[in-house]
Amino acid sequence: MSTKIKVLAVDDEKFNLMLISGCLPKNDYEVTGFTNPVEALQTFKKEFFDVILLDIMMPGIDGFELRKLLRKISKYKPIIFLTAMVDDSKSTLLNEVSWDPYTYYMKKSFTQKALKQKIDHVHGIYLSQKQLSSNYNRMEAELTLAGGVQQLLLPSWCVANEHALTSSLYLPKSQVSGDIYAFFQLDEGKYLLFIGDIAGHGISAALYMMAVQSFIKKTTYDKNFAPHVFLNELNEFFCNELGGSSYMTCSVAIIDFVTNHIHMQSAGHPGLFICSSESGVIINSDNYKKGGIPAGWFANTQYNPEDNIELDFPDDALIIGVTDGLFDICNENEASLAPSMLSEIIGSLSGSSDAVTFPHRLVNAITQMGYDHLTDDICIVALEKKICDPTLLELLIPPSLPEVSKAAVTFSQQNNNPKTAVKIELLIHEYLNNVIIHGLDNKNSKQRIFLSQKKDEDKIVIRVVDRGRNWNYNPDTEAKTDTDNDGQLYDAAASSGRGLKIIRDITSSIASSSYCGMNESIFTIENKE
Amino acid sequence: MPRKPIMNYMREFLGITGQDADDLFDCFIETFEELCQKLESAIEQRDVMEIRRVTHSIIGSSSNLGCEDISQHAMDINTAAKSNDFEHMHQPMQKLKEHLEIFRSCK
Repeated sequence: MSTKIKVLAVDDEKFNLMLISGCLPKNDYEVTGFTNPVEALQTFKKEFFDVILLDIMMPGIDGFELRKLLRKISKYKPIIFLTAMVDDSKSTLLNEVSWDPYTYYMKKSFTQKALKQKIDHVHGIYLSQKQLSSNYNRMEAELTLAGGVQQLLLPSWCVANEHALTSSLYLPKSQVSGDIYAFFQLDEGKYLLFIGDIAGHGISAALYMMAVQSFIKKTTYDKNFAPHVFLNELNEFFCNELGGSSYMTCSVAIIDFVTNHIHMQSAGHPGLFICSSESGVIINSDNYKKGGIPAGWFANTQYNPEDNIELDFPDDALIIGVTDGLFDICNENEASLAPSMLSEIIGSLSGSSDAVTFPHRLVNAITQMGYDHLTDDICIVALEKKICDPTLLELLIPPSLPEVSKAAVTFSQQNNNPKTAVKIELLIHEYLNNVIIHGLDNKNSKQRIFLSQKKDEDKIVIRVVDRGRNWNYNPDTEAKTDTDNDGQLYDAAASSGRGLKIIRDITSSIASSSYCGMNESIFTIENKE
Repeated sequence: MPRKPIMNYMREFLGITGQDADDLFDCFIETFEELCQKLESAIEQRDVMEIRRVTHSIIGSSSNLGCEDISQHAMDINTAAKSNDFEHMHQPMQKLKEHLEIFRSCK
């Protein structure tokens, strides 16, 4: 491969082109010269050059105009204006050179040495920039991959256990995050909730996060397990295994959904919120003023049983854990949300949300208030106890068409009215097939669709929550009473194909909302005998 | 005869020798002749834009061969053109033509 620097020279004077060509040693430089700027441009489109030398004052297209045209082809190729301009009192040349970071200039009474130095210098800068850009692009691609892998290691955004339903929203500030959460069963009715925030951002925080995940998986959860015990082991892990070069804030809670009791401790982390819409009570475990030292800060930190917090919660409680990135979201004036305001929003939303949509609705509400600039990773987890309700059926399904069929059958079989059963089955098939085929870009093993069916006296309410693309249609929320319509109205109104028409025929109303990447659709079907 | 000092200049400052230097010298004479004709015509027609463009070219090519006196005469015409002072263009134009005659004799 030739190591010669390929130079494109454009000057309306043949003499100047001969000078440049004669001046640059042929062993190191290959000069292609044009007196016609248009021909030069055509050649530049087809051939590769390292550096461009341009005269400025040329008839027709001058050097500045030619540069604009060249820049449409290559934004970064170095251009050297060779000029004998005798008067730049209006700073024309200075201005034209300075606005483009890859433009240089040189006076025309140059020597061979000066010309070579200039060309070599600008070429060197270009190669360095190119290498930096290539390294940056590679890093970005690797970070994106790392972010994807990180997401795979976390629980699905919605998980249904025997006793609880959880939902989470994980928002890294960049591609990877130092936030972490885990939720799994310890014993009959007892679950561990761990939510934490590794110090710092980016790759190092993400690597620590994965190390802590590994630690959580390896930890023994026996009858002696307690929050302070876990924190002492975590602190030791940070200081010994991880070399003591980082730390994290975290909350660890053992939640018993049989006795409705929480046993927890916080290591410098925001407290859990426990909200009950029935009683209107909101508890923030921070109010207990216990615990506080992040794990990994000091090797001799001792987490004590006295700092564990014991809380009871009602059946309808929504338990919410957040990382402090939520408190650092800013508005355009760089002002962040006050903790008291966040508590109010949480309390207000908890009255109208369940665990499934809460995390996304919370971020949506905050961003709608103008706090939409992320300065830190965010993680929100919401949990609720599963209550036995014979009129309610909830399912979480992976995005697969066979699973949709199973769900459709399961839901329809809950209904004695055969007409209603058929409508339910058809609705679930039509809607979810569209969601899976057209709405979900990501169909990995963590993807889930939440379905629920609630029976009222004379209607069935089907609710679907997914994390796919926001639907563009604006569904009609007015009640439809005539389902025997010949379809002419729907032909004109429908913009999403035959499936939507069928759904609108089946249902008496459709309501659709979108919150921060989550879609919630509620369909009502009349259930008259 | 300007040939020798220009050849020396090309060798010392531009690294151009031999046939390349001869070709370049001949090209310069050709270019200089052409530009002088255009300049004389532009002065006669009082075309300031053309005067400035042509003198710019003369300055560039002559200074690249170390012909500072040619470059200076062209610069004087260029300066006069800025203030539409056609009277003060004649003398430097005459000087340029004298230089041209000398170069022609080198062919």
